[in-house]
Amino acid sequence: MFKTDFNLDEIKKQRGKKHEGFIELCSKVDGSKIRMPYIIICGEQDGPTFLVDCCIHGDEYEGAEGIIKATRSLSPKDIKGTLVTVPVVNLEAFADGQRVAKMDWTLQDMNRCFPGNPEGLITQRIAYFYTENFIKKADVELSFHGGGNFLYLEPLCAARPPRPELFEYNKSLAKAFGVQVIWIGLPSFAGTTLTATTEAGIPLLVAELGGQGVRHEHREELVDRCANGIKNVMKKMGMLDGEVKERDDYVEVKLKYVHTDEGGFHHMLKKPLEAFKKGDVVAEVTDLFGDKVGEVRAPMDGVLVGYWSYSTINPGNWSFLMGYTD
Amino acid sequence: MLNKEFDFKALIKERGEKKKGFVELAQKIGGDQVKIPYIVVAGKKDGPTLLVDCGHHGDEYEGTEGIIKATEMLNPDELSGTLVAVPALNFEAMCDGQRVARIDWSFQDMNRAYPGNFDGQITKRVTAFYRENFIKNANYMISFHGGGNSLYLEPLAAFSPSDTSTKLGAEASRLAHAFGVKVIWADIDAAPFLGAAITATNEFGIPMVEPEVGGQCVRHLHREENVNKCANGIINVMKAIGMLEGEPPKVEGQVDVGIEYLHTDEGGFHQPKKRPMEACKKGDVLSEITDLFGHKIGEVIAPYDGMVIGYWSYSTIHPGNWAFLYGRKL
Amino acid sequence: MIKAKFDLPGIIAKRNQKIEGYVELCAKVDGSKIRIPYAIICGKEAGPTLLVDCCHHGDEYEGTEGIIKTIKALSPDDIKGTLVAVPALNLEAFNFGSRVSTIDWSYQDMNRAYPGNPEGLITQRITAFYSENFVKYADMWISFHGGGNCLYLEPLCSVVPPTDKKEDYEKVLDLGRSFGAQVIWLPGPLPFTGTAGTGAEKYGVPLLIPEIGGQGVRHLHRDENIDICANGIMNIMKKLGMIKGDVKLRNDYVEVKLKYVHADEGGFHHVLKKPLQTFKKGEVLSEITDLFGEKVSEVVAPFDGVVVGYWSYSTIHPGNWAFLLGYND
Repeated sequence: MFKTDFNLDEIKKQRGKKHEGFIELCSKVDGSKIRMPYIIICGEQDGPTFLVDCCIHGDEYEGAEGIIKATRSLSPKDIKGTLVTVPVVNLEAFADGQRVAKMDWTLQDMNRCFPGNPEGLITQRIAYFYTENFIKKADVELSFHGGGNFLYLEPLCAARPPRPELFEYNKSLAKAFGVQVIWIGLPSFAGTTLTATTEAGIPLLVAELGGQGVRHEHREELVDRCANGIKNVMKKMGMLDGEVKERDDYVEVKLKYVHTDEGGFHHMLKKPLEAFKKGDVVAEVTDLFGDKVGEVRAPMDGVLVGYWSYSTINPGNWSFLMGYTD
Repeated sequence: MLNKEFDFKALIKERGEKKKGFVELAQKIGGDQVKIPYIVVAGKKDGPTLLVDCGHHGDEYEGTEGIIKATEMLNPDELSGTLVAVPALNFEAMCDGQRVARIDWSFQDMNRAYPGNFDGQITKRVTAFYRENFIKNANYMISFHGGGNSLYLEPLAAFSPSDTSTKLGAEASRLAHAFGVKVIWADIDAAPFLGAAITATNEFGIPMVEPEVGGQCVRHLHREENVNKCANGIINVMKAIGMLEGEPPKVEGQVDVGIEYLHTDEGGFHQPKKRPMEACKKGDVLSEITDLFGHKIGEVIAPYDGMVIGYWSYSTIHPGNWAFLYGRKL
Repeated sequence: MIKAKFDLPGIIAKRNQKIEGYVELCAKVDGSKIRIPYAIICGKEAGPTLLVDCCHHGDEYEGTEGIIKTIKALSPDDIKGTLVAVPALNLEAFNFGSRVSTIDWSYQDMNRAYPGNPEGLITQRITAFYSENFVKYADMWISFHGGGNCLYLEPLCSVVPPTDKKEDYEKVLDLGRSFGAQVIWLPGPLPFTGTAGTGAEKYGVPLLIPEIGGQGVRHLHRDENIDICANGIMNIMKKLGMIKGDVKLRNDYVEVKLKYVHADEGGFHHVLKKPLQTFKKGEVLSEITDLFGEKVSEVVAPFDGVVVGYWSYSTIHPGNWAFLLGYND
C-alpha cells in the first residue's frame, strides 16, 4: 500500500486558505511518481466538505477544466465549508488520453474498482487511496464524467443516494446542478464510485458532460456548465451565497445501455432526446461497401440520451444509452 | 512478395459494371488476411482511370463514407472510364481506430512509407503493393484524409505537384479547385515529411488531389455534411475530368494558401485562442498551454501574418505534437 | 524548441566528481516532465570522454543494468577522463516497456530519428537535444541495444566508424573486438536511415553498438548478460587508457555484415536453426504455421551465411523480421 503522509483532516484545520499540489503515491519505472493533483479551498467559515473530481476515466476532460475554472474564481472568503477538488483522479490514463491506464498488468477500469484494494494492482490501489483519504472525509461528492473519445452524451446529472431516505435531498442537489436530464436509479455495473460513497454514507452526484465528438464547437460552453454546476450545488448546500433557480423541463429517467451485435460503420437514426417506441430501429451498422450488416433496436419505449458517436464501432460495444421510466 | 496473381487490368476490364471485394495479401496470426478492400465502377464507355482512396491513416473516416456514397450514386451507363475506389487502405489501422497500425514491430505511418518495400514490414509491403498495382495504373488520383481523433481541419483540398507552371501541376490545381471546398493547400510539396503518397503520384506523372475533411471533434453535428462533401467532391472531379457529363459547380470564396505546422514546446491542456480561418498577425498568441492548476506554462505564437487552417482540438496535447496548421494567402 | 540547458563541458571541466540526476526538458500532459537521466564520473585526471547509453528502445534492458553496475563500481579515483552515462535515454518508451514511445502524434522510433529535429515531435526533439548536448562532446560512444521483447540476438558488437577513412575503420574495429563479444557486426548497407550512426557521423565520434540480452533469455541469462555489458564498458575504458589494465582479445571472432530477412505470412514462428549455425542459400531457416498446425509459409536463406538473431516470440506478424543473418561479401 501507499506510504504517504497526506492528511486531509490536517489541511482542513487551516481555515481561510487555498492549497494546491500533487500527492506522491509511489515510484514508477522511469523514476517519476504516481501522483494525484488536488486544489482545496478551506473557507474562512465552517461548513460542509464538498468533494469534486474528474477523470476517473482519462479521456473525459470538460469536468477537469470546469473544476480548474471554478476553483480559480473562488477564494476562501467566498466559501462556508471546504471545497476539495481532484481535477484528475486517474493521472496515468489522463496522460495517455485514454479511458483506462496502461500500467496494470491486467487493465483496470477505475470506475469498476471501488472501493479499491490497497494491496492490488495500481489502479485498484489509487481507488482505495481516494476512497479512504477523500471520499470518506466528504459530506457530498460530485464526480464528473463525459463522452470521452467516442461517445455523445446529452448533458446529465445522476442522483446516487447511499440509502433511500436521502434520495429526495440527493435529487434536489442534482436538479440544482443545472442540466435537463436527471438520471435516477442505479448504475449498471458493480465497483463504481457509488460503492465507495455508500460505504461513506454520503450523497453522490455523477455529471456527464462533453466529449471529443462535440469539442470543436462546444468545449468552452460545456466547461462553463461544469464550473457553474459546481457553484450551483455549493449554493444549494449553503456553501456560497445566492439562490439556485430550478428548471421547469427536467427529464427524470432511468438509463439503459443497448449494445450492437455487429461491427462496422455506426449510423444513428434518432437524435438526442428524441423519443422512440419498443422495436424501433435506433441505429444501423454498415460495412465497407455500404451494405447493412446489423440493426440496433429499442428494447422498450424511451428517449435517446447518448450514443456511440465514433464513425466505426466494434461488435458488442454499446451503441446507445436510452432513458426510460418504469 | 504479396499476391503475385493480382491483375489490376483484369479487375477493370469488363465495361458497364460494378464490383467489390478484397485483395488478400498476407495471412495474419489469427488466420485471417491482411487485405485491401476495393469497389470498381467501370463505365460503359472508355475513358480515364480515377483512383480514389481513404484510410492511409486509420482514424480518418469521412472520406471512406464519401467513397461508399459516391460509388452507390454512380451509374455505369452514364460513366466514361473507370472509378477504382479503395475505401480503407490501411485496413489494420482502421480496425484499431488509430492513425497508425500496431502490427509492425517498429510502427510505420503509411503516409510516410512510400515507395514501400516488398521485403520490409507489413505496412511498407502494403504500400509497395498499392503503389505498384493501383497508383501506377491510374490516370488521376484522389487520396482522402481528415482530422482523425485529435485534430480540427478546415475542409480543404491539397494538390501535387505544387508547381502550377508545369502541365501536371496546373492540372492537379484545376482538379483541387473543382473538388468543392474553399481552402486550397497550394504548397504541400514543401511539407516537412518524406515518403508520402504524393511522391508516388509525382513519380508516375499523375495529378493528385488530397482533400482533408472531417474528424471526431466535429462528428456529432457535421458527420453527414462532411461525408456529402467527400461524395460530391469525387463527382465534381469526375465531371472536371470528363468521366461524367456536366461541369462541376463554381466555388465562391476560394483561397489558395501555403501551410506550415506549428508545434508546441510544452504539454498540458491546449487552449486555442484563434478560430479557424480567423486572421492573425505575427506575434499573436494562437494558443496557450495550461497545467492541472490552470497556470500557463507555454504559448504557441504566430510566426507571421496568416490564418488558422487547423488545430489540435483534443483537450490535452503532448510536448512536441503539432498545435496548428497555419496558413498564409499565396 | 527545447528551452532546457545542460552544460556537459562545464561538468567535465570540474574534475574529481561523481554526479547523477535528470535533465528536465519540457512539461508533459500530466504535469510531470520529459527527462533524461544521467550519471557522470569525472576522474581526478583529465582524459577522454566516453559516452555510454541504453534504451533508445524502451524494451532493451541489459545495457541499462550493465551501465548502472559500472557506475556503482567506479569512483573518480579510478578514472582518467570522464564517463558520461545515460542509463535509459527514451524514458517514455522505457516506462511502458515498449520499443517506441506512444507520445508522438505519428510514432517515432528513436533509432531512426537522428539527427533529430528541435522543432519536431517529442522523440525527434529529445534526439536533437541528446545529439547537441551529449554526443557532441564525446570522444567515444557506446550505445547499447538488445533483443527486447521479441527477439533473440547472439551477443554482438556493431562497429560504426565516423568517416570513410581506413584508419578510423581500423581504430573502431579494434575497439569493437576489445568489447568482448564474439560476433562483430561490420559496416554494411542498412534498410533504414536515421540511426545513432548518423548522429555519430555528424560529430565525428567513433561508435560501438552492442546488442545483448532480451526477454527470451532473461530467465536463465540475465546476470550473465548484464556482466557482458558492464565488462564491455570496462574493456573499452582500458583500451582508451581511462582505467588501468590490459584487454585480452578473443581468438574466435565471427566478423560479418548482417541482413534482415522478413516473414511473408503471420502465425506461429518455428526456428529450425540455432544461433551461430551456418546454412546454405535455399535452406529453410524457419516455418510458419497456423492455428490448426498447418504450415502456411517458410523463411528461406537468400545466401550462404550464419544465424545471428531471430524472432523468438511465439507468434510473428506478416512482414516482421524473422532472422538477422551474417554474411561476408
